[in-house]
Amino acid sequence: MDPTLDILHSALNGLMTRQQVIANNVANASTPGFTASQVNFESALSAAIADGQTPGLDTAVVTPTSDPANQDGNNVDLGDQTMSLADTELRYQAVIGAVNAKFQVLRTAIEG
Amino acid sequence: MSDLFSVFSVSGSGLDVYKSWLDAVSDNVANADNVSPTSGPAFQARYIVAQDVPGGPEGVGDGARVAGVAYGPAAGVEVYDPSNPMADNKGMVRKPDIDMGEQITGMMIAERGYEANLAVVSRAETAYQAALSIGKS
Repeated sequence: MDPTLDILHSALNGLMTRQQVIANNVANASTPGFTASQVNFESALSAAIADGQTPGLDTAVVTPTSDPANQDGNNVDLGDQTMSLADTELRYQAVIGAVNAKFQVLRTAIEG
Repeated sequence: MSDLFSVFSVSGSGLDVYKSWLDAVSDNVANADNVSPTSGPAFQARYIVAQDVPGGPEGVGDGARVAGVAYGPAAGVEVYDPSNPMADNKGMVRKPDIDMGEQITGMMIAERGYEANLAVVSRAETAYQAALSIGKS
């Protein structure tokens, strides 16, 4: 079976992890000594697709950001986080649109 | 903690921290002009100490919590106010050492932080709603 749904599922998981990380960063926007995290799942996912493999469901890698910290050791930038959150949510909706389109194709194939 | 809809609990913890901060500021401002006799301590401003909570799904972190409270100096400042019934024989009373500018700045930061966490909640809700629509047509 073609891996489209697996790829989309993997992308949804990655985006959901990113949303959780952003939520955690924003919750800690004033925590002294807190270092914001970021999520990358795109490189592992595109590598798997390029190799013709079915990607794993969990390709997200969470790493600390290296942005400079302010005086209390916190490096959360609320503007960056808000931008990233909006971006993540729109991508999430786009991927869900693709999932629904794929299901529609399958439904048409089944029902004729 | 449940993995499902976990953004809500993370953002909720952020809301809690900022709410505690706002409570502390309002308490500090309300008591900024308290007068006490020099024999006793002054009102001590409250400062919220936030801490991140490790753990959560895939170790991304479980939000923030109020780790404790720090207090301003009990010594406060001594002010000359001989007409005050609490004044000592030198005419001095004790007032809290609260910097109003610092309190108001803190209030603005806490307010923005609260709003940012609320924005995350509404974004997450939209995403979850979309996820719940999968397969419907």
